[in-house]
Amino acid sequence: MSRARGTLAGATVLAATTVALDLLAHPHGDTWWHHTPGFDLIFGFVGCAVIVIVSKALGKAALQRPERSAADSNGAADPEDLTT
Amino acid sequence: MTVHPSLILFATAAAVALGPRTLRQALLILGAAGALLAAATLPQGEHWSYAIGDLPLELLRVDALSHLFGLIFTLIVAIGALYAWHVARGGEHAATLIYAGGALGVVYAGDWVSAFVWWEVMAWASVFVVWAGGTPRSEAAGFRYLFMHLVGGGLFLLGLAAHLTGGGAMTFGPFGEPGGWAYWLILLAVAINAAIPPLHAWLVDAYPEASITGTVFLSAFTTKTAVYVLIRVFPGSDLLVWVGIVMALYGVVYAVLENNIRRLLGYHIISQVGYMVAAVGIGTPLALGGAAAHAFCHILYKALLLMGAGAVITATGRRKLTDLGGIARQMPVVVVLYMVGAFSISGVPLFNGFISKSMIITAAGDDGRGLAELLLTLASIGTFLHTGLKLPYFTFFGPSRGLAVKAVPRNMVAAMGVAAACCVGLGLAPGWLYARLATPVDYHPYTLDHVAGSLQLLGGTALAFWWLLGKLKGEATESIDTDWLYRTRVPRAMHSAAAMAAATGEAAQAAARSATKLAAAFARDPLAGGRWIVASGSKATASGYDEDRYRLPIGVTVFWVVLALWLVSAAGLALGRGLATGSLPHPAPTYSWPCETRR
Amino acid sequence: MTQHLPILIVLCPLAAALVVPLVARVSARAARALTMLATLSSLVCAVAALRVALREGDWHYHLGGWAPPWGIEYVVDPLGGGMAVIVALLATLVSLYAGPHVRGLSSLRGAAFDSLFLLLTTGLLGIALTGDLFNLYVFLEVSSLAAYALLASGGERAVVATFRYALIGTIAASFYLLGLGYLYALTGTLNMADLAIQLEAVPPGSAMTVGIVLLVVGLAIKMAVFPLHGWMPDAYTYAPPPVTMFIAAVMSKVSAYALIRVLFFVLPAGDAVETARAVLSWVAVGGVLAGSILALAQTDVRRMLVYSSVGQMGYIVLGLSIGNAAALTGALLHVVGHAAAKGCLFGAIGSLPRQTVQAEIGGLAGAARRAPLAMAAFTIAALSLVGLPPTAGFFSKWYLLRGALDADAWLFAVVLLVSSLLGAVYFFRVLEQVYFVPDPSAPDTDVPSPASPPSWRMVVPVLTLGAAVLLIGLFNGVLVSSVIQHALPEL
Repeated sequence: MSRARGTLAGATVLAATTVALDLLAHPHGDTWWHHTPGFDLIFGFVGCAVIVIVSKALGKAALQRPERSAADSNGAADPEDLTT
Repeated sequence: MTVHPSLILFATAAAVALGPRTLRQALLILGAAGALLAAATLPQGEHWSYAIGDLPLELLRVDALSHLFGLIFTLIVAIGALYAWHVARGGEHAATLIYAGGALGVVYAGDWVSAFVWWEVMAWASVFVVWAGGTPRSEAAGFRYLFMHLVGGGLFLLGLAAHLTGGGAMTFGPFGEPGGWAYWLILLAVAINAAIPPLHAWLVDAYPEASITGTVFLSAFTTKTAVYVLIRVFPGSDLLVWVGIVMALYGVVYAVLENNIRRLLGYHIISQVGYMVAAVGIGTPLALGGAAAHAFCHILYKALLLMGAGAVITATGRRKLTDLGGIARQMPVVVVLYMVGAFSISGVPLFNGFISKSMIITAAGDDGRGLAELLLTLASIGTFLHTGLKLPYFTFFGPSRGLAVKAVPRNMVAAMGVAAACCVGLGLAPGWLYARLATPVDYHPYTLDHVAGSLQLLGGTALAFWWLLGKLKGEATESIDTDWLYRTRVPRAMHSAAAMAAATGEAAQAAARSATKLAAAFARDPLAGGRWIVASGSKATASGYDEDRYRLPIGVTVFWVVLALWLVSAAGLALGRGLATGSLPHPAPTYSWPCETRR
Repeated sequence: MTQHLPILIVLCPLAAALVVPLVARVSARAARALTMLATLSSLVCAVAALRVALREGDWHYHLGGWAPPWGIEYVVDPLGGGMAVIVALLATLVSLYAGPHVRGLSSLRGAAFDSLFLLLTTGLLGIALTGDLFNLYVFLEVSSLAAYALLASGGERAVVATFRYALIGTIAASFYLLGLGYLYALTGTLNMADLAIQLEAVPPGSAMTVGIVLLVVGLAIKMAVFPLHGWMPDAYTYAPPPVTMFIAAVMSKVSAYALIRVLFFVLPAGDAVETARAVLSWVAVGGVLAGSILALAQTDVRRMLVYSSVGQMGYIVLGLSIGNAAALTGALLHVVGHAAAKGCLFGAIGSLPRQTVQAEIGGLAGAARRAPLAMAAFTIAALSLVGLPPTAGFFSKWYLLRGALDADAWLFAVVLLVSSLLGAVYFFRVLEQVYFVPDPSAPDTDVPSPASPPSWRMVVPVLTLGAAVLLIGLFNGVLVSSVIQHALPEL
């Protein structure tokens, strides 16, 4: 098997194991997601994707801009920044 | 014999700064070890009281909470001192030690005034630590840091004075009733130190600019002291729960966009402190214990992560993800130790983050705050993404750029090793930490439920990371954060205000100058000036005043003198009661002299 | 002998001032030693007299045995005695500090310097100890004239600056005299204690108002209260370092002491004094802010320190004008702390060898390596002026804050904190140059600096004052409870 396939297979096995453990465990807590097996796996995947996509979108929209200079630490001052 | 650990640190600072260079390293380690020993052996319930005027001060108050914080603070001083063993400048050591001593002072303070005094000492000492970075950017960042912290200190002082004037208790503890000027002013001041957005920009601005060794100290004290104050003074405030959640997510979002590795770790400090703030807000014993435990663990693993980043920068000279990659083979020990820190912060079971973070999340769930629980878990996902996956991948693994890698000094690796051992040790034996919490908690992190849930969470995140790998590459960009306001807009406004004031001043001066010129010209030749007014249009005589022409006859002078005398006397007689009555010297004193000349 | 302690405090420097020129003809070193001995003995007598006063109550000493109100009396109470101790201590330290400067002068000028210095000390001690308002005027003039001469000895710019100071200072003294004249005309006595009693009986009228106004304005000019401070920056900046160190530390404090005496111990509490204090409070706010802002704009370190003094005197005047126990405690503690801190700052700057007349901030680059101990003391004093714990400045600011809030004067509290912020900016700017900017003439930081370190005669006083700033802060409780509390007027 190629490396990628091997990794994928291994990951699936691990995921299945953890979900099985979840079924065995005594759920702690009252909310619906505590009682859903495999919830955390999906939450982890979806949550991570959401964070990355939302943050990148915010960055492109408002927050990011090109670096002030190429130099590592003694960069030229940003002309707008009046405190340097 | 009990000694306040801060005193040991101050003495060490003085010795290292002013003493002989050859003894510096020995003194440093001796002092740090001494402080740790002092903190560990302070008996519970110890009190040192001292009165200044009408102020009863309590310089030392040892209870479970202050003992715990004192322990971790002195431990991190020792680890940091080992990490900084090779630094030649005594001044930087002195600054970090005074800074740490101030933090310990706040922790052990039993009354508000002492707490404030050490809070301010921490503020000015840490400025020197930032400046020790030595670059022009450190200078500028240090000034901005100074300003923010002095504003915070001023707010604290004002709030404190208001509290005491309003009859509040001197004991350093919760307010009688929340609300009121003192409450909000002090909360605002603590919020600045805890780096609660939007007052957080100083942290990500200054921490990356300090020296490699300085940042390790900076990360440990300011924010955790603020957390300590929150635990002591503001437990159970609903507002803090939501503030904490926003903090946790804010740090994560900005970390996605960040390229500089130390700045990225700085945003994660904000994120993790958000957990602590939220826990303080929840206020149940489990939550408060979780906040304290999380602070304890965070200090250790954050220092470990920053030490790792510092090792990378020392070895390669690069600090940006876009410049790094593929150096794992050349520094394997550092990579392993760094990953210990990464797993700790991500809450991987068997490491110390797991035992503290799950306390907080469980506390949120137990308190019926489902949304809070979910959001905090979401932040946890983001944390693993960055520190556990993205940063190591793009720094250590990932495609190699053929970077030259210098050897990392051995003391740095040793310090990382000590911190890593503590992280693992706490993770394996959480009971040690739980036993030292303020209120005993019956909490067991290693249940099947928790462990399975954590593994699933981490697994899901890893899968998403692998899927989105391309999108997560570092970009050579910078993010605009809230300090944009006081770096561009506010100074501009102040500059125009100052320019306006200067222009007004200039105009006033010019007006005064021309008035003076007029007056002087008039005085030189009044009659010419007078003639100019009467027969307007004719110019004053070029030669000035001609005394022969304008001399007054003597009779006119006599007339004016007589008239003046008559006027003044009339005025004096009519008005001058004060001048006329009771003004003559008394014939004899009417008092008795208090005492004779002695001896 | 000990029954004459109060007059000895003033006589020692006076006698030495007259003798030093003669001794200097024989031996310059003996003249220096005599100067230092005189100030030291004055200090010892002052401390002893203060201790007696604290133990047994105010000590009234009648000069020549003549009973007041016709004779002149000297009063050693905690306030005056404390002031005398401060003046004598600074005089002793500066007489040591001035050694290198005097040695650089010709023997005639050196003797003149020492003699004038001792006369200045005499004048200031006299103001602190006298119990007679006219005697105060005499000593005010003695100290002013000696100060003019000393300040003018700094070179050409100093002469012009001092001439302006002389003009304005004489106007100030004349105002004081005129105001005193009105009060004398109203009551027939010049003795402070007697005046206090007599003035109670005089109904308020225009004469008393005019007298009070003239007195207060005259003393305010001497104190360099904003906006009457214009003479100070030039006069202090161009003077020789020992002179600036002494005068900047002590002279305006002694004038402040005189104002406290007049406002709280002599004048009757009434509308006139209340109005004067209200006006002073607003003037003080202006001074605090203006001093800090103007200090920010300076490039010469010494001028920056002088404008900082304008702001600090504003703190003291603010304390006076608020007038409750906490505020007055803060004002008096600030008098002590600021005297030590300013003396330390000017001393440290003066001890650094300089190539040019100007002391640009940039010229201080790397000073921490050239003079590490002096700069360490400078740092402590700077922190005190910013008001950071655990130095003296923090605790005086704390008392002033408490006083302002006790009097519900929130605006004053905010002004105090804003000025601390401004102070932080201009002081930390200097500290950054001193510690973190490499010395352009010796960039290699791993070896000790090649520049010769300052003389120990200059370093020891600076270090002593720096340590004093720290100790006053740490032990301010002792100082307040044993001396300052007893020095407060009855309110």
